[in-house]
Amino acid sequence: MVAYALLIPLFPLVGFLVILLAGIVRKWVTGDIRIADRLASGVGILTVGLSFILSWLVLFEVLGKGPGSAYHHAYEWLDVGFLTLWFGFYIDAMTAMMLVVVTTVALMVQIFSTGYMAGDLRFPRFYSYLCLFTMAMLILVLANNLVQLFIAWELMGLASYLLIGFWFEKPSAMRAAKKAFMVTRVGDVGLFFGMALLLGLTNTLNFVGLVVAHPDGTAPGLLEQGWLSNMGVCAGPAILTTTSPIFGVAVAGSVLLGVAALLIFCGSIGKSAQFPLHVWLPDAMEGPTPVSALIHAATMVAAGVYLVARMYPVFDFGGVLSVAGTDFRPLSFVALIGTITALMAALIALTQSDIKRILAYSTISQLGFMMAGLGCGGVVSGGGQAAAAGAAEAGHAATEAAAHAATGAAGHAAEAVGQAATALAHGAAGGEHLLHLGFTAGMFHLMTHAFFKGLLFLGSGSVIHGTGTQDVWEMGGLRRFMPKTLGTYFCGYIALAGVPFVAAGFYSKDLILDAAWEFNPVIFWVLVFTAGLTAFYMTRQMMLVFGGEWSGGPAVVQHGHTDPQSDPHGSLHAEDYSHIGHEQEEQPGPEAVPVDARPAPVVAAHDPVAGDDAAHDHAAHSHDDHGHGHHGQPHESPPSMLIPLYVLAALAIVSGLVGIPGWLPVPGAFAIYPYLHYTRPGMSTEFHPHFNPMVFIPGFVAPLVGIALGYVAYRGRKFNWAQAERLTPLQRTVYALSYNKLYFDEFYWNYVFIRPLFVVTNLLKLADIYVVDAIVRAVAMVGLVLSQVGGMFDRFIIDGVVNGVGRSARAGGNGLRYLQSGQIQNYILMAFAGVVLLVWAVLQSNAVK
Amino acid sequence: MPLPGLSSFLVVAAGLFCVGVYGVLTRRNAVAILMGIELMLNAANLNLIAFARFTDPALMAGQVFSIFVITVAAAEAAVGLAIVICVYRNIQNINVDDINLLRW
Repeated sequence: MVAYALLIPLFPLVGFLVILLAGIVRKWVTGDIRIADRLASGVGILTVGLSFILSWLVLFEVLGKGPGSAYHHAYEWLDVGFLTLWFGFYIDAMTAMMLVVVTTVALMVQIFSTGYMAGDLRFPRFYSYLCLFTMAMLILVLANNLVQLFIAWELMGLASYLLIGFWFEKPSAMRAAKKAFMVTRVGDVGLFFGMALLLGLTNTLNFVGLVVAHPDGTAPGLLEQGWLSNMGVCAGPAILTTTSPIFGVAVAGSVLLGVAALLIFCGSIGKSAQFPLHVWLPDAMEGPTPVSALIHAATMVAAGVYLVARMYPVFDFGGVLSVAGTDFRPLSFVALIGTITALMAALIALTQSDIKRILAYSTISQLGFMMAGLGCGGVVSGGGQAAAAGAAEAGHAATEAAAHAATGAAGHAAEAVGQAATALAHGAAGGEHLLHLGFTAGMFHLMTHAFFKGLLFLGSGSVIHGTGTQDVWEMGGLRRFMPKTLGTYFCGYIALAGVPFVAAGFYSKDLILDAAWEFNPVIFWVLVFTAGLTAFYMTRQMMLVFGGEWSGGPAVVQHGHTDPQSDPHGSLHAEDYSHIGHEQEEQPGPEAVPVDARPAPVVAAHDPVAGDDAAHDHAAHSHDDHGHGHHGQPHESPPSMLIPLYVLAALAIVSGLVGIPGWLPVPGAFAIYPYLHYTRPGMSTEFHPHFNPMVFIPGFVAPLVGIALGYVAYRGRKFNWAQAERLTPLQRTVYALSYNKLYFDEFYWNYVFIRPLFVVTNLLKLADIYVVDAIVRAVAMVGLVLSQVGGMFDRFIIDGVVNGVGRSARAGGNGLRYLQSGQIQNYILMAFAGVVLLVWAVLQSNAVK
Repeated sequence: MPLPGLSSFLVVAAGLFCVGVYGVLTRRNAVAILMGIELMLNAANLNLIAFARFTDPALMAGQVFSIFVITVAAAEAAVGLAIVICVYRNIQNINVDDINLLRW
């Protein structure tokens, strides 16, 4: 079947190695570096292009074989005791979709970069990193076991680090790279422990047989075999018995499985920039814009979502924890984190002024949507809506009972109480109930988001290329100068904003809302609200970038504002952090204060992180418009940058067609569902979508309202928060909260990682001084005394003996040396006397005998 | 004339040896000392031949051995006289009392 899948990651690997060589050649052949540059981009595009073609072939082959088909091929890698590690490929519809998404976006980014990165000092290196990343991501999606996935996962982390810090001359880029690497590492530790726990529980890390059935159908997934209910009889380690004592507490195997799922989810939180660990992604925008498009928007950050989707049975079967009467499944946790992330990031995106940062927060928000979608799947007991309805019914009946009791109608009261009990039972005994849509919705949104977010980032790259700035307040009126960029950007905009029925983003977001409605109304309404926010901030961005009049570029806006004396905050900030010695090389000058917030003191009271951002932006300009210089007028980008925009714009519109809501009377509606869905054996995969106005209308209206508000507010770029004098303190606080990213960086800095570290270190320092040092000193004193005693012994006894021997030898020699007279006849005489003596002695002894 | 007994030979040799020793110990002239040494060697030769003749006349081992001793003595005399000449060239004197560089 698709044996050539092996080649898909192999091509970029070859490209990576060849381009590295090209870089070396470029160093030697200093005459014309363009040849090496062209070679590098040519090889990169060629290799990724081949992978791209093969990926589409794989997709067509998988689709041609119909839903549920899969292909599995593995080579034995390590055989350690009970564990056999494989290196291989597992391809099903989800893998095929990921392959296509990754290679498509990667190819577009490679083409785009020929224009965007032209003339860069390290052009071949950029392409080699891109190839390295593409290879890692392809290995990840093809992996047939968790170990292989983890290796690729870390390889991507490396590639991401290298590319964020690609312009490592900028301190901010260097720091951003470090931050990204280390923050994701926090999650990766969890992932690693999760893998270990899963291995301990199930004896295997292979997907086939664990979370997916063998393609032959010979071995269904371990979890799907009813393994949990039969753990006692299932062959495996002792931990699989229904309860096993760990740390002296009996823990059910299913709960341990749930713990494993949550630990694995930690990795996803880090990689996909979910709520507690999202702080690295906005900073990652320090990398070149094509990298932001490829890695930090479209593909790599989706790896965390992919991981959850791939390990879905582990999440689904993981133990249920009941807190205060509410069932809390691993998937509920995923949904919760996703929802929080979506809302939080959207709130932050409302006020950002860096075009890439707006998109970065929107990426975080959309990843939250995907997680929320995935979390709203799986199997629940009772069924959310049904249970809620049952509870309401019971409450109603109980009230009735109380009322009857008050009026003394005892018989009626008893009857009403009985009704309440029945209603409760009805709610609870809904049985196990499969939420069909969650899995499909999450993965569908992953795909559409990859296309339209890749488009938006590349479009922003085109804008940055044309204007030489990243600050949206410094743009404006670009519709005149960059009409083609505007056209493509608009496609991405309507997709992300979710304009009903015309673009992909609407369908996938609507599906997630559908799934959320099935699961939990609170999550549903939060997501609807977030969708409105998304439309609002994207409209704001569109209006600020393309609407109004050209503001004149960075120079005009930057220096037309305040004088340094009127900014009371630079000093505050400098004192605040100077003792930590953090990033002081970048003193935020007056231009560090956001343009649209300058007169509002509470907003400007930001800290180094916000201050840095603005400074970064200016450092970034010199890079991002490399060589163009500051020109009065923005200009349209070259065709090499526009063609990828056209392709992605088309995909951003049409990729939603596979997920048209099933209740629409359109042929091929909801075609994605048979290929991408999750179910448990024995549960019906049949799904009959129906029109639910309670879901559809909010999902329809929210983006429109957001767009309308955004248009009204930012029409003509007039609504500037610079008029913040007129704001109430509450409004000002809210604005500052959002502008300063809800103070996450500060919170982590002050209360979680850095400051507490200093506090702890200071405590430890005291302990060092007063305890460890004291002990060391006491030991030293004892040692000193002992060694002095030893020294005396040495001096008087040992030395005495040694010197005595020497002296006596000398004295003896002195005495004896007079025998050495030099008179040869003396010697002879003595010899003769000796002989005589000897003879005499011999004769004497003979005589005695 | 009957052959004298072994002891006569030994007495003559012993006398000769004593003369040699006396010469070596008392003479101050290095050449004279060499002559004393020659006397002692000859005394030893005489002993060898006498014992050979009286104990194992057929084997002739003593005679052969004394031939070797004579050879070695000649070489010794040559070396000794060469040293004496060297010494003389250095200090214009061959008095052994004056040749005492190798002392304490």
